[in-house]
Amino acid sequence: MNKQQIDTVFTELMNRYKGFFIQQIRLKFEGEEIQDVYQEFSIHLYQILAQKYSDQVDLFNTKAWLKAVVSNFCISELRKKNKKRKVNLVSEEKTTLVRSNFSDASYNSDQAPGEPNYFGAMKSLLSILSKREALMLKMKYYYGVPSARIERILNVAHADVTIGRLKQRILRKGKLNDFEEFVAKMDWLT
Amino acid sequence: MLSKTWFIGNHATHFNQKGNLKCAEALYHLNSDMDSIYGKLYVSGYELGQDIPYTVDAMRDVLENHWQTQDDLLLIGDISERLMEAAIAAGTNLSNLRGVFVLYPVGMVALDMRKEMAKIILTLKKCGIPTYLIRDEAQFFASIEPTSHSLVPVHARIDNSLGLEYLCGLSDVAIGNM
Repeated sequence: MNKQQIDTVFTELMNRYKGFFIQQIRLKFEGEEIQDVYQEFSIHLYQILAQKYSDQVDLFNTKAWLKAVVSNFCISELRKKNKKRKVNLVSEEKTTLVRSNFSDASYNSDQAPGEPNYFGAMKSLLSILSKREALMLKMKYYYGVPSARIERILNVAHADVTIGRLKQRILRKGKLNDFEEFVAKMDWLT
Repeated sequence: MLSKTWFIGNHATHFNQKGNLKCAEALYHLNSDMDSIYGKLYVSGYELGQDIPYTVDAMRDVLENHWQTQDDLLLIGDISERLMEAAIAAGTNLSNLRGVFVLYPVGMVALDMRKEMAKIILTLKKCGIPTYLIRDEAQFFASIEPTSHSLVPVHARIDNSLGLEYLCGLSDVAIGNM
């Protein structure tokens, strides 16, 4: 089949079945995607006509064949689209990445050798304080929330959110005299 | 005498892309709007109608209106194209169709198109319209210039040198005289 004949078949099919193609595409896509898929399908149909139409004589009941072509094309487009979204899961044996288990202290692989145990420090410090004060500290130093916002959210005085007042509160709650002494005494920094 | 020869559809007009054959043409173009399943019918370059669906009835009505005053018609086209089917229907309704030259159909491989083509041939046979198959298009268009006058003797000259084959529509006497 030469190009001129393929052009004629293609034009005839588009004239006859344009509505049918769009209807089939609408079953699987929506919105602006329909237009994109229709354009891609038109190109695909032209290519498939050039490859197969002249060879597979007597196979076609045209509309049934076209329904199969458009349906298969839509499915392959959906597969391509979903492939991009899908998270690629890798089994533990195939990766060098070691996941940390924070609930198990013996499995503390997140801490590099020789590095202070910051997680332990934070935990012991926060255990001295009440929930509200712990939350204030976390917001200020862990999440970096500005003091003005903390005072507004927790409905506290601005002075209570300053570092000096927080230190005083830790000293009072921990029944300590000197903050530096308290820090130096902590075994987690060694 | 034949007054006009018509090239109907994409397959036929392909042979007159350079415009060297002095014949009228009829073509259908879909609207570019994606949601639209309607199109325009063009006759020799000018628009005959807008928002016409690609159905035999709709295109036949438009062509019938256009060919009301036409004395005789000679059609050349591919009967697997619906526009050709509509043109034949219009010609037979107006009783001014004098002959049909069928290009070897591109839709021959499709089963449902074959059924449609069989119906058209049956109509032409019933109406007694001389119908010929142009089996070798290149040879045919190289050996004959299908103007309104030059195709007249073709009726009486069916031989292999033209790449032409008789299909139906002539009486037994006429076939015997060929």
